[in-house]
Amino acid sequence: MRGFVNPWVKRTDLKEPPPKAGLKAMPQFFQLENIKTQLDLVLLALEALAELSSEDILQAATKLKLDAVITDRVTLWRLRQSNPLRQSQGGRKKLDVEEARSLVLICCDLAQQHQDRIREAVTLLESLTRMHRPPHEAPLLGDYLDNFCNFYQARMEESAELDAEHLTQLALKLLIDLLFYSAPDGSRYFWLALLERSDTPR
Amino acid sequence: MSLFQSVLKQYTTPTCNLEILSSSSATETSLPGIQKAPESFQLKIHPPLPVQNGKGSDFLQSDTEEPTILTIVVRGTVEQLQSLHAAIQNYLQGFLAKANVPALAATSTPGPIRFPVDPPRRSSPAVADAGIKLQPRGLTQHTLQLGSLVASPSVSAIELASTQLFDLVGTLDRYARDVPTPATEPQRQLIARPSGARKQGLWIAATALAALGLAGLAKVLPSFQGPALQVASQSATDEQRDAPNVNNTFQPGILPGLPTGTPAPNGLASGLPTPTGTPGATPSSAIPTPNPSQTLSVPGIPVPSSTSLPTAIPTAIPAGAESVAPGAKQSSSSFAQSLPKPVSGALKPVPPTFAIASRSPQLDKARGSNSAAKTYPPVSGSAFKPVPPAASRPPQTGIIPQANPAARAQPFEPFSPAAPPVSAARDAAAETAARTTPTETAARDAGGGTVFDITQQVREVRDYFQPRWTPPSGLDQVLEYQLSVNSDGSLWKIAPLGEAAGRYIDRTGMPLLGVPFVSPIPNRQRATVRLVLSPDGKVQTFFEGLSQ
Repeated sequence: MRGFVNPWVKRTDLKEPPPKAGLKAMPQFFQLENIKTQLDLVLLALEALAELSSEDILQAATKLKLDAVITDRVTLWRLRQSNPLRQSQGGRKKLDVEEARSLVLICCDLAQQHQDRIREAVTLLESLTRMHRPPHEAPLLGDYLDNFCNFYQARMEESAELDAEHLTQLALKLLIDLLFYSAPDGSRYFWLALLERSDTPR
Repeated sequence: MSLFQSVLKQYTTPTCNLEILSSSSATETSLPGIQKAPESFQLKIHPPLPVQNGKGSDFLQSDTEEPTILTIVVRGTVEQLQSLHAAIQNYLQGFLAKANVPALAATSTPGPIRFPVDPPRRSSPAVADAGIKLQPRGLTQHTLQLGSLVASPSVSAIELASTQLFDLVGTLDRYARDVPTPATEPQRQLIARPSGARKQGLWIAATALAALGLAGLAKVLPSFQGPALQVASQSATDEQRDAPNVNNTFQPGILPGLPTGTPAPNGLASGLPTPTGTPGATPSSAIPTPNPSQTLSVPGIPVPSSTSLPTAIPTAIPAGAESVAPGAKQSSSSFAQSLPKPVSGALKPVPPTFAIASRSPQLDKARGSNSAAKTYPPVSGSAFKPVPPAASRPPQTGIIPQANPAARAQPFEPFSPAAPPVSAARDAAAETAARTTPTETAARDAGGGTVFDITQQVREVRDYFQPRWTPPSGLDQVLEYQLSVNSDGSLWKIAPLGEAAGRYIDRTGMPLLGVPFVSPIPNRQRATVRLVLSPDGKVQTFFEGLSQ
């Protein structure tokens, strides 16, 4: 059994140079590999694409009978604040496995609800990529990218900010991921992906 | 007799159509209700669907590229299909787990935004048996190397868009839910083996807890342990098993969701094998890059979805299934040449040839006169007769050996709850054993079980059908079925004997294939049981044989 790799320990097998302080470089990869970060980012992508509100997320929690875990907006906010990239004041809430699993289920349920829109966006992205054209030429993708970038920059710490290209890449990768999370087995794929991120090879 | 392939089951998604095929003769396929074993598959991968007319699709009309309209057809055995599923699942897990983002466009294609492709992860590309491999090609493309699979037109690799891969995964996941495969076996073991589930669940919990800062240890561990895991898994499995039978057509937007009625955390945990256990995963650097000249990409065109063909699939491929296909309208003499040897076990009252002989005109005539119960010796402790040695058996003339009429009248009396079946059966067994030749005894011992091991199951088959059997009005003859029961107590084959049996099979309350409805059979054996449903509401079951 492979040992657990602390995501906060900088990996030495990455080719990219470490980010310089003060520059808007990509966050450390191990940061994006963090489960808490990934859960929050997937919700962020859903919000940006489907224009979801926290009320929609809470309704999904109720539908899935997870309202005992995620009781109200404050609880939801605190769970998402566990993302270490988030702007935060004071102590950061810890996320336990029950809460993480609840968020996985909610994300996948919301992705299923909005599968048509996700698929349309991915289809547009495939077409534009085939035509060697930038993704924001499609209004749906453009709106999504704008929303995602705005949400990200407004909610994440300054040190976690990305330049526009990397932020676009992140948003598009999350969009593709959402398509697979919207499958009937999406929650399993999502959970496995989270575990894989937290158990990266040395 | 000419053989051709018939479609057992079909799965359709917007860009993918999977047909599970079985070779059969023309006469076999003409009989209703006959379950055949899947042997091969045909997978059609259609080009991606175009963007629907809606918000922001007008700009695509300026696309000057003329896509080549092409559907790729991939063929292979069901074993290769399982390898394909395993390879895609492994690849997808690695793809979704990638933290950093690959280049938007393929590295060989200039795109608007390009970043260095991240170093390969151990589990990103999947390598499975049959040489089937996948590797990412940019963010939206995936190269599927077909390995030993045969494609038409002949290519060694296919470029899949993400939407195509999504449809392909959905199709294969649905197939895997219907038919147990090695790819899904680990998950099924989570369900079936509490100790295994506990072990894997604890590993998942340990990993997740470590990742999440060891929060909530005491709260979390119980939820990963065996019993809860089994219940949630079974619930999900049942729901998934039922869904495809209703409608095999993929419907975006109304996908069956997670088991909402199930406590969510357990429901999620039920399908969570540890990612580190992924077999066969190797770095993408170890995967040879496909020859571009042989790689076929699928451009976007609209393709209509195929209609679904819901047909149950047997959960296993029986050895010699063709030889004993009871619905085949062959003469008993021609069948006798292709029959497998009777399974070891001298206590079998009816060898497999018995079922074949029952197709003879004499027997059909007897069945038509509502005399099947008189024709076949029922299973009962007092009436149990050993099978004579092969040399002393009558030739394959279709004449059914007559049994004791008294025993025929009440075939299951010794097994009623009031009279424990074991004692009566044991007495008969002792008597039988005394007359069994050493060779037969050795063969039975080698088989690891006797007929008495499954008397309970034969009774349970009868008990299952008794409350469900309501004779349809107008039925004037008995309905007979040969039921093949898996060692787990589920059906793997239903063979209606006679046209009426096929016509009325939906009125019998027959259990679904693969769903246990009787107790497991010891020693991993399969049993063949004849079910006789009479117009007067009577239900009889007759043990026919055991096999491995």
